[in-house]
Amino acid sequence: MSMLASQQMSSPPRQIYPRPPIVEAVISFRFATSISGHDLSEALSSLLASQYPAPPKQKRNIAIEIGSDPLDASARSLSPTIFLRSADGLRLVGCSDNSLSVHVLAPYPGWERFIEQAHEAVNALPDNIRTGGVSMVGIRYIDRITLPTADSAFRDFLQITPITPIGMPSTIAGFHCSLQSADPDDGTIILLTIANTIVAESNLPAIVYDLALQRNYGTSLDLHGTSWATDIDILHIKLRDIFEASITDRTRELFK
Amino acid sequence: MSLRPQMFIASYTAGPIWGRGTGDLPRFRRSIPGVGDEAELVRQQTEALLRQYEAQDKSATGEEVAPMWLEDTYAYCMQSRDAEALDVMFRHINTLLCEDQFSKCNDLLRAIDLQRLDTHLMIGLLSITLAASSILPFRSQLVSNIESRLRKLAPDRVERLLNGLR
Repeated sequence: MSMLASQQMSSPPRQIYPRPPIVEAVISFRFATSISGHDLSEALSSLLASQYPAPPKQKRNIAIEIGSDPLDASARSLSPTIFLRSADGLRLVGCSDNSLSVHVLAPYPGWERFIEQAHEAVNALPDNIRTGGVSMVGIRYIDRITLPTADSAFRDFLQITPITPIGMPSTIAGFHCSLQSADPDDGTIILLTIANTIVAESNLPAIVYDLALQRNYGTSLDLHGTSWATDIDILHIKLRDIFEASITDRTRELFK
Repeated sequence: MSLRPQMFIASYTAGPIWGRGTGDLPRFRRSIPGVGDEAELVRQQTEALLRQYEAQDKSATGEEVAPMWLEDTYAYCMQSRDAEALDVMFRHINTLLCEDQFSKCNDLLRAIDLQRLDTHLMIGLLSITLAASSILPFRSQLVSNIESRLRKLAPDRVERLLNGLR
């Protein structure tokens, strides 16, 4: 079932916004060599102590299963994720079993500083992990586009809002849409979620735009060279193109 | 305007290699983590909607619906985390067998998507169910299905892999 408006996508001009809507950006790696999140955090925390001096934070991961009977529920703990944190808490490195994630929170520091943060983390990895390489690299940008007034129409700011059928009021009160696709040329997996929310501070409506791209490698990609950074850069360019094709000129005005 | 969101989902999967049985990601579940409030919002909404669809699938199609833990198994497998995948699978199947839930276990064997398991997991599945093979009617078909798949994945090792597991 697809209710999203279809638009012919053309590559829009690259723009850098003074007030980008990015609330979180993530670069993610899945290692081909096994390492526990704990061992990974231990290895990185000493080498990256000056960049991430705040006490690490541990996030428990719990899987909850709910059966057909509402009382039939169970929970189990998965391996936790350990986050190394900068002094201001806006830059993080997540250490999980066999994976590493590099996060920046708003205000977005710009691509150059973000990718430099990823380089620092990769360079600090144990040598055997770098040699073993990665089976996946990914990038995820989460934007929160706050609309200017309480009665702003979502479709004035997003080219891909759902189309309401005839008979249904055209004003959309809320939505949550997910699209998943794979590029047939290079196998890049793309997952886009858009949803509405409310900004607590202002009570204004907002659009959450969550776009993730990842590449899986049949043969692992070595982390000693710069191939991983080149692939991340390509994913970043694709991500930006998709985002620019999703928004309107009225949206761009919000970012100035 | 009411600010209470009405849950509305459009689910569209494109591309020639997607769908069940291609070893791809669990649909819509993210493998790239997020730490902020918006990431958590997306995760919660996605999980809630996926559970809703899974429940609807079960009543609408009458097909054997795989339990949620199988998606974890598939995800681990896809990420080459076989040890974790086997741990999840063994733990749940062992529980079913120890509690004499053979019918439920048999249904589970029907629901498993072999296209999303690698060689280790398929052999592990046969290993854990071997002792109960006489009371799991679908197991013999499962062996046949796994053999067919192994003949494509590891044609020169089929007999060695299945030795003692039929």
